Amino acid sequence: MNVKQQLKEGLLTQNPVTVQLLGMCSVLAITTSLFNGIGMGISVLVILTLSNIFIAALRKIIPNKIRIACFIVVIATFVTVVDLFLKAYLKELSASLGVFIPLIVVNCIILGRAESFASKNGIGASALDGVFQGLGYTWILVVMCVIREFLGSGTFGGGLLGEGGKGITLFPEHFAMAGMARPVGGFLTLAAVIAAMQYFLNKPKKAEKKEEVAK
Amino acid sequence: MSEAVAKRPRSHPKKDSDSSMGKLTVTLGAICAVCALVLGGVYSLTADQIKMNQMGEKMGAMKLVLAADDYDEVSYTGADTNILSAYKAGDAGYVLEVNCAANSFSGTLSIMVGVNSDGTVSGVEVLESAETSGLGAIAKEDASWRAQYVGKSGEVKVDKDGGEITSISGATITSRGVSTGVTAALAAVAELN
Repeated sequence: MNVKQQLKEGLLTQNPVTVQLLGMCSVLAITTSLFNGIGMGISVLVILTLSNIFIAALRKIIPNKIRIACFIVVIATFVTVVDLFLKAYLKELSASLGVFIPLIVVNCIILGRAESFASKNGIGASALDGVFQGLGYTWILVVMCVIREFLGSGTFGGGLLGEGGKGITLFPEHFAMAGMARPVGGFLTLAAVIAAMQYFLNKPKKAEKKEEVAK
Repeated sequence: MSEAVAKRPRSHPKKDSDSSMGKLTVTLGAICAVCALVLGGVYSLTADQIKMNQMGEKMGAMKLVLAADDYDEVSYTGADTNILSAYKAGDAGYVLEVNCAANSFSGTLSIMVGVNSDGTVSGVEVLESAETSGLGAIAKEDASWRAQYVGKSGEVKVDKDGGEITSISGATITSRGVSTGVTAALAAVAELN
């Protein structure tokens, strides 16, 4: 499997959020401001890459019968390491992501990639897989954050830009749909993003079919 | 494992070498041991910083609710278990950390209340809150809403309950929770005096 194909799978055709539909819980819960989205995305990317590297390195040592237990121990270790570092050096992010950082342990993306990719491939390929799948997760989070923040509170870049990290106000807050910042907005946005993604992913196929018919 | 069990003939041939119980145990044990070492190392590396962050947050809130040069922790022995800690802020009054979780909307709400020596509220800060963003979370974000509590004494209630505190629209429960906490702090200070 080459790098280009891996990149395309991670970002588009096998995107962990919109195609594999993994790790939905955190996606719905934390995509309320750009800061959260980027922070969560990078946390998952780092944990996924590290756990993929180690699981690929240990894949010949780990007995098949207890592989899930071994994967979870490795994953839980990295999650705790990241959680402790965030608490110590990025406490604002740690406070706003709350319980969703420790919950990355049970995030299906990490275990899913460990089981389906890292346990069968080399260290280099697994590391790349972690980075690309992590990027795929991050960009969907960022898109959802931007949409929900804009519609829900009329701002852009919450937690990062603007005065006191409140984001740049694009329109007055009393015009905003507060529901978009709530869980219901998460479901609506996720559905819209998945639908849009499927539309664009299937578009080239339709064009090919038309060509075939024309021939 | 007893010898009798170990010597029992296998009903099916052993497929691969890695499936013996001993090897499984050793491998998992070794992986866990390495992980535990890593965790121990990272924990000792970050523990001080994390503790400092938590202390800093609390100190910042204490300074905001009632400015004083130093705060001495005093033991509160009253019946109210929601009073988490109490500090004497010199002659200025008391600062109390109150848990309002029981009266909150989402189950996590703690506040820092400053009480002047004359028994009136000097300031309120929300320490921890899991209230709904855009509604209950306003209690933590909006200092001008919390400013209403300044100068109040006795039993503090929201307008819906016949009090003077204008509740956050859409978050009466949170407003009520904070008010209950402030009332509890005032009562506790009366006991401390």
